[in-house]
Amino acid sequence: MKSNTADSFSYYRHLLTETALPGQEAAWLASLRQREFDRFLQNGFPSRKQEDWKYTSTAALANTAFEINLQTQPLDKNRYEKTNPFIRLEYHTMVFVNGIFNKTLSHLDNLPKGVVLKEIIQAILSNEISSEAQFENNAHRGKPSCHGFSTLNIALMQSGFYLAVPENCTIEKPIHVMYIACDTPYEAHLHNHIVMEKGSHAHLIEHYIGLDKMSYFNNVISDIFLKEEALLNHCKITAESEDAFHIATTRTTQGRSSTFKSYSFASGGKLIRSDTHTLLKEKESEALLQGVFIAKNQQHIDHHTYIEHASEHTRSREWYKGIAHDKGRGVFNGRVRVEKGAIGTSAEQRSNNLLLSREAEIDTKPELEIFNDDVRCAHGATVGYLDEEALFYCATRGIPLKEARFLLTFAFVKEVVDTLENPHLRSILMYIMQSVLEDQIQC
Amino acid sequence: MIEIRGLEAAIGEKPILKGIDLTIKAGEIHAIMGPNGSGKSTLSKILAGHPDYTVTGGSIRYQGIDLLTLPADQRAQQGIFLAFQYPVEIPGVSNIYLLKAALNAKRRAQGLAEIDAFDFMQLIKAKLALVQMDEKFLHRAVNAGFSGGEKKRNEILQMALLEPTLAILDETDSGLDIDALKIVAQGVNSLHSKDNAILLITHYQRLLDYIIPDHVHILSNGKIIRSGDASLATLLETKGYAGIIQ
Ligand SMILES: Nc1ncnc2c1ncn2[C@@H]1O[C@H](COP(=O)(O)OP(=O)(O)O)[C@@H](O)[C@H]1O
Ligand SMILES: [Mg+2]
Repeated sequence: MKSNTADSFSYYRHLLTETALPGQEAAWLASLRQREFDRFLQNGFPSRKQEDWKYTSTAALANTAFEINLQTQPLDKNRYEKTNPFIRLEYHTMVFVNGIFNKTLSHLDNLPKGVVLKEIIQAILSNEISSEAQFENNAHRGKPSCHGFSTLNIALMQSGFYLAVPENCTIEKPIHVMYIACDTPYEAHLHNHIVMEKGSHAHLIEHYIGLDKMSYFNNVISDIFLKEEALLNHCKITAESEDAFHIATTRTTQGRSSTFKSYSFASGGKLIRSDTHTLLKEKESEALLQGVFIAKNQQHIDHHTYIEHASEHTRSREWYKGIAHDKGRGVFNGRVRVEKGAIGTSAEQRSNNLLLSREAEIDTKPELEIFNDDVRCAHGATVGYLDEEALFYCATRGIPLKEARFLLTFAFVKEVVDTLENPHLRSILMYIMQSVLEDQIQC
Repeated sequence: MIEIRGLEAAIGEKPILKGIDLTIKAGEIHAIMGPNGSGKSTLSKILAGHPDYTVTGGSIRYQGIDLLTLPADQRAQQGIFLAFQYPVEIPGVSNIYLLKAALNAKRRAQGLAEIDAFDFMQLIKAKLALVQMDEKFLHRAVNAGFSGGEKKRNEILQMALLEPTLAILDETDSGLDIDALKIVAQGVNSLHSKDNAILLITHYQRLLDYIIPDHVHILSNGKIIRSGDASLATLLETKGYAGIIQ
């Protein structure tokens, strides 16, 4: 990618026409890629003139040249094991390095019968995803989750994973998918496709982690389909290298009485945009969205959520906490739409933000669009500094200022981490958040 | 132990303490009484090192050092303890975490190793018994959702753990029912020794029935207007502040 001009898109066009991209044997995919690319050419990257991108400039990203990596990238086993905080727990693990699936490092042997978890292009070539209709998340078409990056994602999709959990199947151990960036800069268009059949339960950790100081770009779509009474615990950990770009959209379509529990923990990166859009399509479906972001130096971390209550007795609850330090910049934008027929709906949203320096900035904005009266909606947003009286209280107990600041900041984050149900995941995330914060509070 | 000379202090431009002289020796209990707004909490916060108050005159020597040059955390590590009139709530930080961090900060300042988890539990259980607090309070967030009385007892628990050289108790009695008051008073009395000193700040004489002071001072409008022994408190009880200040 070079810049937002026709000339620089020739690199992408070249990739498409040379059939260098994988999976082109599937005619429907080749044709879909072409159409998505045409759509991309029409609109380009999102600009700040668009309401949804008002706070986040993609200019720096559009002006950085990357190459799409299509080759297997070696990663030393020792280095990998040090990188994976879950290694001892022996979760079902899929490892991608610089956007390419690494079979040797993955651990997929003990999945319950009937569960399919594989690289997405392989799933297409083996007809597990056999048509455009099956692939596309049509319910989200024309919505804010369709933008320049998402069209480009499909046009250039090089990898990702496909997970299908059959009816009434419960996967006890979490599935951990790691996207590791190391050694060489690259651009990756990663596409994940998750289908939870009726009554199935799973726990999924999507984990993005950068090991080296370098600039790279992960452009991610995760399409999630929850059928009746399905339950998905979805934890996204974004821990990219400081100079990385990360644009990700999770788009969920929910069936009757399904539950989507989403956790997003974001730190690192030069620019992180992590969106969660969920459509409560059928009645009594429920979405619980939690998130924590920590932006420091010149980092920019933007979470947009969009919850559509399209049916009766649907519930949503959101709780996001943001921290900005140095010249860090955070954004939380929580849009909730309640359709006319969605009676008996409840929607709750909390956004609490903490500024650790005078130059840091966080913008938080609820957007409620409510088209019926039978709704319980509540939202609250706060932005503030550490409580000086609490710091003084700690000081009078002998606790040095630096330690007190850490203590209070960690406590702020911990409240959200505590909502994770899996105790292992909780303690690992505590540990991750703790190291991010320790690294951060040096005053 | 501590010598306060001609202490004047302001918050912003507003003068609050207008020349305070007070000397406390090891082993003594002093009480400061005074009407609302007379500057009692201001004095206690200045002793503890609150950054919002400006000392505009006078000096404080504590164990031979110039106290005003030390930041609050170092004062605490040197044995000064303030039980707050309004203890601060810290959501998300468990009581036990704070207690342990506080004890370890003090131990580090004394050149001691951090306490191990088992020894700490033994120690804190003994201290809980002293103030008759249930162990479950250890795992609750610091003061968050505590009743007024629980907060005050929690302050004394911290005091018991940290074993201060100079403890300043700012209206620890207010908001306590008579049973809680007795428990707190017993706790404080049992922590008192010939090597430490206690400065009790109170609005009412009631507490002084249970903790007998060696000296009583009456603070009015930023000045100590009268000092005496425990009988001064009784006099105050019969005459009221107005009768003594006139
Ligand atoms: N943060 C503050 N800002 C402005 N005035 C204050 C502040 N704190 C205390 N004061 C004023 O200082 C005076 C003494 O207050 P304080 O020391 O709390 O009195 P006491 O504890 O004896 O009731 C009062 O007039 C009070 O209004
Ligand atoms: Mg007071």
